[in-house]
Amino acid sequence: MKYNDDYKVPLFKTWKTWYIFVIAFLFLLIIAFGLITKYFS
Amino acid sequence: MTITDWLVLSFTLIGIVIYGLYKSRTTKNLEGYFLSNRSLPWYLVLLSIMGTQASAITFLSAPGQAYTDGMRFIQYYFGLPLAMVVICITFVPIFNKLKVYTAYEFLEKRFDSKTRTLTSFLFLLQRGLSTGISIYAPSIILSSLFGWDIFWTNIIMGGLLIIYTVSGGAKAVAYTQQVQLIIVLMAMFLAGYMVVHLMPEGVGFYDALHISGKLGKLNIITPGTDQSGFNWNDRYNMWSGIIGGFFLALSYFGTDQSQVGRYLTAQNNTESRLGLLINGLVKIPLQFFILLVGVLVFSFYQYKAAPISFNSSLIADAKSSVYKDSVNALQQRYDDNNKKKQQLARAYTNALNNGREDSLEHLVAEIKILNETSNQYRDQFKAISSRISNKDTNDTNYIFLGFVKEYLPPGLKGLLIAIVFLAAWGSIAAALNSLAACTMLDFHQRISTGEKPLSEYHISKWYTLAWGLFCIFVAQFANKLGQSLIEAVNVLGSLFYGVILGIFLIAFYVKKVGGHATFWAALIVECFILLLFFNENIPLVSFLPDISFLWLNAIGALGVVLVGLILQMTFGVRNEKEINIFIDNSL
Repeated sequence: MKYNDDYKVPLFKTWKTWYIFVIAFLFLLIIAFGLITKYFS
Repeated sequence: MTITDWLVLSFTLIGIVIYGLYKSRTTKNLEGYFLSNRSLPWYLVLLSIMGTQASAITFLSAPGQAYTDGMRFIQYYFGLPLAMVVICITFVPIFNKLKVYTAYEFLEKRFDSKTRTLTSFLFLLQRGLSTGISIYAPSIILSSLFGWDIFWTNIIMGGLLIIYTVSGGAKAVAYTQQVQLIIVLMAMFLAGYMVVHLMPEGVGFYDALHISGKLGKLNIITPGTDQSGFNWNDRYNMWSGIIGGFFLALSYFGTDQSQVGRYLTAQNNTESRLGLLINGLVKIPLQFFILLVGVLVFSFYQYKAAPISFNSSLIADAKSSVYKDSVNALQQRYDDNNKKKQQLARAYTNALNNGREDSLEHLVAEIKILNETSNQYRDQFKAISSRISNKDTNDTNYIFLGFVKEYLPPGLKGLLIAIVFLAAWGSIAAALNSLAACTMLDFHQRISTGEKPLSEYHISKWYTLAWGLFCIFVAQFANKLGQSLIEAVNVLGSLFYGVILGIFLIAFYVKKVGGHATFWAALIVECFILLLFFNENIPLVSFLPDISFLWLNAIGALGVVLVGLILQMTFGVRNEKEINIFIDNSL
């Protein structure tokens, strides 16, 4: 440990933003996969 | 295999061992050996995490899974990104702040020494045996397809990596995993390109996707429902992926030392967290690509003749057995069926390219019927094979390598075989390093006194070597386990993972439960899990219901929390240390 960064959130300001980002990422991925499934079925 | 294949294979494997030894030079003490002096940047942590999770079976099994069951397996990973965020917020800062070497060291600080010892012991038992099976599983596939001696294949699969893992510890593991993963992904990309390239003239990438989609292989999203509502027995669907996958990823990345040991090598919390978070974002697209290769192989075999079994040794055994006449007759019917299917597949692609949409539906319906007939012939062949020997008749894991063996050009074939070794080495090396870390830190260091760090560093090397030899020993006897090796690894993990996760869940989230209650809860629930699993063999508990092994994870985790709470409320006395750790490290 070079410095204390217990509270530092990487890339975003808060963990809440990470939650929103990951949920949005999953949502978009599921939509995209759903469209592929529907298009080729 | 040609001489070019042997050269590519040998050069790649020897190159990795030399590179691992070169990177071992600067490792001189215990922290360097197990945690790479907590010096690695996030991208090495990321590649190390990915290399540890993706074993040889991942690259062999996933394309086969897509071939047989379509792409819905990808939903299994939907819970992983969210689990990464939870681990980054809860597990990483506590592990790093307490400067632990192993995840189980934290349990002594939170609870007591006996809880740490029990959890570490369960990990060693489970990981030691499953690593042995992880050596045997790809070895038996290579051995069956290429006629190699299984004894020596096991030795090379589990042995060569010991050289650099013993010498360089976590640093050598991380740096070699980086190279291994890059080579593996490049080779998989080349394989995907080659599948499309080898399609018959006039059949392109889009045509391949179109026919596989119409035949149900691009079923990426499935809701898990049928006429009677939600199907709880459906293993891979969106909801089981998000919810079940979340707990599985939380357990694997948060409590399994083979993964915890990877992100503890990072320079600081931020680098650990970045490695985990980016892993959460890239894992699903990566798995999508690997499964897509399997779907393309499926499309390929609509236009070309697929073997009745992708495990060629089963065909050879069957054709030299007393059943040879019935096998030959079955093969003839299977080949005739395949020829009709190939003609219809070509007709389908011609209709698609010429805009004759009206005939597509009719052609797909006919191809589906022929595929079902093919599967019935394949099942009949499996039934005959199971009468001849005790070999695994399920050829899902042989599909991708079967294609490689049959159709890829010299050189590329050698490279694809090399990636089986490299992928195996990545996960096995991390496992050996973590097994040695737990043995040294959770057992040896606490039992022996007065030793200098230097001697502990050298003893750790011996522990790594001993675990490597133990895993090869297990691999040499793994054929006694019977048929499905992948399932054997999953079952073995499920017997212990749930209880280990339950202990950590109490440690992080149920602060009022203390060490005694957690320890006894873990022991009681572990016994219950074993009784539940072996209920058919124990007359006294034969009344217990038969439950699929996947549910044992949830029962174990929730059972430990529940029994822990009951014990704490009934008999519980907590010591102050258990409270203070969260006050000192309130995050």
